[in-house]
Amino acid sequence: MSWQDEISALLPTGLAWQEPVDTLAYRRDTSIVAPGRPDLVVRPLDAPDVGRVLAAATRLNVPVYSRGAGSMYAGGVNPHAGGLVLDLSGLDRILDIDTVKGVVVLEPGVTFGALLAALEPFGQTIGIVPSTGAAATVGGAVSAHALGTGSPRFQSMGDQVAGLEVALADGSFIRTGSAAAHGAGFFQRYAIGPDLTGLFIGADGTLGVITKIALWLHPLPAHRETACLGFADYPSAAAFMGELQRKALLDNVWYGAGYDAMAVRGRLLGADPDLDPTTLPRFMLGLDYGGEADAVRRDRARIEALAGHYGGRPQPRFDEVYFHNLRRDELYWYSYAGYFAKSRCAMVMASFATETLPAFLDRAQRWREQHPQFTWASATVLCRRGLHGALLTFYDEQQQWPDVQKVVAGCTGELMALGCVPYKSGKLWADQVGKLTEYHRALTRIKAALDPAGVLAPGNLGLGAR
Amino acid sequence: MISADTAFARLRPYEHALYHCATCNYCVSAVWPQRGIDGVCATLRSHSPAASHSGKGYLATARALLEGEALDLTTVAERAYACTTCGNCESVCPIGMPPTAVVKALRTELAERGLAPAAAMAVREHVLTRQNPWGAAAAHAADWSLGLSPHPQPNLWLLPGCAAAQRHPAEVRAAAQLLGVIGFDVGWPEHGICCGAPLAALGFAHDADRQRTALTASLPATPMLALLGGECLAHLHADGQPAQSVLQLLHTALHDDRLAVAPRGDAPPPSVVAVQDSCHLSKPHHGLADLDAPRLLREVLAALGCQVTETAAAPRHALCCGAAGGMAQLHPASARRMAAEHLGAADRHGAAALISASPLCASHLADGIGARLPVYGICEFIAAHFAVAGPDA
Repeated sequence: MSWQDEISALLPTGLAWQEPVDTLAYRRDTSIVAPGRPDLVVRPLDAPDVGRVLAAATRLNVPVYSRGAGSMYAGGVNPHAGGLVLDLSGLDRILDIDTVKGVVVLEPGVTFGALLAALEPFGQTIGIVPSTGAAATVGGAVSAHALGTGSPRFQSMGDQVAGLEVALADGSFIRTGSAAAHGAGFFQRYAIGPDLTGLFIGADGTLGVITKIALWLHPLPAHRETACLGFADYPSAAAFMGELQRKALLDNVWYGAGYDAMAVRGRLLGADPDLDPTTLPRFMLGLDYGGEADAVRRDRARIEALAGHYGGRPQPRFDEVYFHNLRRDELYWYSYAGYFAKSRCAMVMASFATETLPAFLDRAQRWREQHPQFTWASATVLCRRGLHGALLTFYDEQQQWPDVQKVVAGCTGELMALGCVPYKSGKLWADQVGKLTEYHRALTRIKAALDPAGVLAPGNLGLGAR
Repeated sequence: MISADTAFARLRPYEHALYHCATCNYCVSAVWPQRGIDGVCATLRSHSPAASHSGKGYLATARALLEGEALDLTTVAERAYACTTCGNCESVCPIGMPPTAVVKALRTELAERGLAPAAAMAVREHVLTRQNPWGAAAAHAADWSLGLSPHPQPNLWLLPGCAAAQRHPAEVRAAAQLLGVIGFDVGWPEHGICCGAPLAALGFAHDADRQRTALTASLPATPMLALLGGECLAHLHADGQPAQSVLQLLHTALHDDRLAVAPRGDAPPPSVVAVQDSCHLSKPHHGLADLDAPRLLREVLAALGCQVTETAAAPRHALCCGAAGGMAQLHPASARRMAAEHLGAADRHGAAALISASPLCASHLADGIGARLPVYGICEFIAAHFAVAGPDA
């Protein structure tokens, strides 16, 4: 019996596929990372089946790449070493909505769209929703530590995780946070000892496979409104955002996005072609406020007053023609569809200190000039501390595939040199992660302890490439 | 193993899209209440959850074939012929990819290679020899009209479509009578000629074109052509044939007071009903979205005094009931499961009847598993529960 047949036999009929036509759609994600070729795809429907599959894969030394919707930008789900793709979309139950503890417990295949729809009748929501949220799975976003929208109020996806259940390579299970204590359930993340939850967030399936997730609940805000602030230059904008973070004025800001000069021109001149381009701000910050109406109005007034000290001015026209609609009408898909509407788009995500913003945007402009065969864009997201940045390269996959891979791979190294930090590492940043010597050595040791056969997602994070 | 060649000329027009798809997974599974999306693919739910049966799976398959990858084309055919071709994956795609068009082109490529599944070949044979996809005797195509007389000089030519004529005669009979009450001089063909829509859905493009040509050549020079079936209407519409939907005519007549309705005392209508929106009449892929059939159907029901309980987040993104794309013939068990989902939803939402403007949907749903509530075509529903009067009354 082949290993494929042996593992397939662990699952109910109709949930394992070996035919090449059936594995095509599991070769890649949205990224420019080269696709892999899985030998087998399985779609378990519950956690015990996940455990059985992992135990068998370890015993048979078969690489395992777990996968949600596969809409990520970093190639973590691409099965470079072949082997087995573990499609987790069948684990799609919301197990508990506990408004007393303020936690929702769900399986990894639940989409953000389904989760938000289920929470809405309870007057609850979650802090971070990726731009692909209608289809993206929570498990995929936690495993890859998706940027989500990022959030001044909630920081990042990882900060919203209360605890996890994880299937390890040997098929055993652990629960993290307070739930590690038998019967205690998920109500505190930092409990008992070290934070094992964080070990699996952003690990891209290299250390275990997430089978349950507990997320913090938040009441739906009573009032929401958007507003935009324009700045004459990047250093002023960076200084303002740093001050905003230091003064802790972001409690009622659910989302903040920064737009560079090209994006500002594109949006405003697109709406009003007769505008004088020289009068336009070079940086725009869009803020999505949420909370009690009085608190929102108070914070907005304070933020706009502070912006004035850095030359920032309210820009209602940008809000009217773009940002408000983006946040209200295109809640999930706002950026993704915009980015991909005309062509495929390579995205490199990085985190950086707020003061690094000018260097990041200036570097993006240089790439634009150096590689005019592509269309380039950049985007930034305001967090409670620091910023996330995305470098976007629009390309024709049929004509420019090797070229875009080479150019973007070069960008990751240069971003590191600027002081940027890999975000959503997957395989896209694997080479750079490997250069973080001390970090990577520690990660390798942890990997060896949890996955001694090295079957879990080889190649991700530069770990155990085959 | 049958090696794929690199021709696949019918896929070439979609080449750009195949390299553009962002693999976002919207065509596989999406929930977005604000946009009326609550699930996407009936095939993935009720037939197989393998992504090879999804929009992105078909795009990936087409791309692999164009790149010369050796795939077992018999297996490819099994996957391609499990699509309902409902077009929901195209409706939800945020960047306008055409997976439904691609799977239809793929079917045509496979059919031309003689790789269409046996059940699809049987449908083709039935249409070519008996002028309907079920193999019912052609001689019975006009049995629905027994006791009715077509107008000798009609100003409206009613094409019932195979589904209504063979599977749902009560609907077409009621339609003919209602159109007469409204004031039309209604005529209809004594011998049915299939328009070719079932063949087009199954990839028999040339046969479908020939059927359509034969049908249009048979039409008398009347001022108006009216159809019941959404799939027929879409197929003729694709060829530029001007035709009206019976639903549209009903709606206009109610609005213009050319049709008066009153609940029958002996068979009062249910107060709460659910509707099954025809994918062909409501999803943009089929070219009839401008008709706005979901709105028309609801307004007709409102005019009848019936409350519609909505079972889908939005008609545009409602899941296929399993009637379309040859699903009922090729994968009857899966098609019945699809129907059962809709019947169950209607039941759960408190509907006392399920109503569709599509005879194909209605007849399929009526055959569904565990149907605990009656399923009607819209004309049949009016005939069953309302006394009607026209402008001359």
